[in-house]
Amino acid sequence: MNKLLKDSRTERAFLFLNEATLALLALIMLYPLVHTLAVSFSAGPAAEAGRVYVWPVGFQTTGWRYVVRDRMLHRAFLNSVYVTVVGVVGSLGFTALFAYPLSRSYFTPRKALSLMVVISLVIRYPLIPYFLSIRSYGLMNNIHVLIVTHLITEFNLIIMRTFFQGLPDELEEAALMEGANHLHILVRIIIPLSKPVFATLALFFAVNYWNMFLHPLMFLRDANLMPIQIRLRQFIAQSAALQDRSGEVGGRGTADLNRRTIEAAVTIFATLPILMLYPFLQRHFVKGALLGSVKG
Amino acid sequence: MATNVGTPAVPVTLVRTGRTRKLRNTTMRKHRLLYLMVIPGILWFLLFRAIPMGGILIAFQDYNIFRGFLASRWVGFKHFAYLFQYQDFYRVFYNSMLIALQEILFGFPAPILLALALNEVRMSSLKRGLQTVLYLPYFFSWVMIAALFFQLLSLNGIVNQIIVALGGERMLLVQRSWFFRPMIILSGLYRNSGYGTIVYLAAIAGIDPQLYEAAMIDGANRFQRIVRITFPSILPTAMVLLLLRIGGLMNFGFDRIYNFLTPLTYGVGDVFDTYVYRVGLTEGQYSLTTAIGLFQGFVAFAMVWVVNQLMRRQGGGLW
Repeated sequence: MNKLLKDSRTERAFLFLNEATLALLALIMLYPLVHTLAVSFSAGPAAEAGRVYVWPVGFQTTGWRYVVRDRMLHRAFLNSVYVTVVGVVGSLGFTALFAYPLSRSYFTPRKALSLMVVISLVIRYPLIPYFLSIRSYGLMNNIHVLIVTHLITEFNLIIMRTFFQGLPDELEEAALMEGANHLHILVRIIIPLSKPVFATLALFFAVNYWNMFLHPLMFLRDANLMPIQIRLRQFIAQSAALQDRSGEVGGRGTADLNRRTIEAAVTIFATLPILMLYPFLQRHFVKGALLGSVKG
Repeated sequence: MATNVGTPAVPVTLVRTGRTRKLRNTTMRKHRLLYLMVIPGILWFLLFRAIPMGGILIAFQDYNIFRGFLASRWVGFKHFAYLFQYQDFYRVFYNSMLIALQEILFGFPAPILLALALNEVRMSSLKRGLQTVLYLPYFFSWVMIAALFFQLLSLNGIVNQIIVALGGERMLLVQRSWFFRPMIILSGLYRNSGYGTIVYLAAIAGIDPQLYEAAMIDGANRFQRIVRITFPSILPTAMVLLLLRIGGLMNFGFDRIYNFLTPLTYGVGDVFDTYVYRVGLTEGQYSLTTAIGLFQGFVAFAMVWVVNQLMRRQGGGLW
């Protein structure tokens, strides 16, 4: 009996190998991030020559001093913070307002509206008419276009509606009897009971807003309005990696020489909020990934 | 679905006494707010989904920005006819399909294998640590992921150092056509495969432990338990996810391709999304690219429809 439940020698070897492989994989996946961080604190020539791996070589803060100095970068960062904060609050409120009636079984147009949401989820709007419509609403070059277009995400809406459906009716019946209206019920009863799903969706909305790329690219022209991802992209597009000329390190000016460390610092800077919040959010997104798999 | 046992809205339509009518009026008044609450949402869907959808009509026009939608000339299927004789169209179509298929081929099994492997990790602290690292890239933007990749793939980057160490020649991989698709697939594996394990790990956690106990008593070793119990148990989940993936085949995502694309790799890397953006938005060929978008939408919808039929046969289905 005892022997049966114990792993054999090959099994133990397999388990060890498995763990070792996974650990190696995790290290490989972590490497790009650690490497970029190391580059951001390295001396320009060392980074350019590829002598930096996981630890800074010739420790320097040139890259980060650039980040501290570049006003446009701060501007872009603050734009992204603004869009993310206002966007998350707006999206949650707007989604809740629409999801609540859809979750009530006695709300007659519920089925038709749910069908509308599913159709909208399945059939994607084509890019050009989408662009032309939004331009015709006069939203071009207005930073709020990023928020307005993302007030609802079909997928998140379905998740929230499904969650609301699971809340017992008795609560709201009692409240209705006592003269509360549906808005009260939503704000005072439904939302407080839905904290877990709100936390999860807030996370999804936030990541979505922070990482937004196509929308600012399409709708914003003014450099002052650009969010951080566009700014980062501008650094990458002139990237050392794309236009590398090996061996000719000597003849360049200092700006050119530090290009790679600056780029690395900007890359880390643009991802800082996500990196800092990530440890606190893991619980929520695991829940969210599972919510997402529940059929709407 | 929530049942509405006590809500008065249902019985009042059956019996109309004075009292119930009064009750109905009050409940209607209370529920009227529900109707008001959906108005902003409906307006939103109208403005940002329905009207853009109606805008596909410009595919049948020679759309002119100065004349606008109403005054532009109608040309019927001119752009579609042009499209099918158009070299670029086939190239873009081919690229889109090929990348999407490769993405399924590699991106679909990766989280399954990873979840099976993670499940066999004994130390729970190690397992949690691994998960923390593997989930992280999912929250990076594609700009960020491209930045990380470009650092590794630059001329003096670690990948080239390995190539040189193995006796190869230094090269700028980012600009090589043959490397474009592998790079896209790798970036997808990097970003998504860890996060994708969550669903499978949950499915594995739902397996009845008695199955394992019985198998162990019958003498099944660890491999047999994985192959005969764990794997079959997550197969239904895997099938659903596979079908959803096939359904979403054409929605590949603009950001991902755009951030890795360089003029040198247009030939292999241009997909519908990037092509429509470049030629439509930046060059102003609105009608032609809308026709392309419409075609893309049809293919995508056909995929979703086929998948839905398949899922229905298995007792699921989105509608």
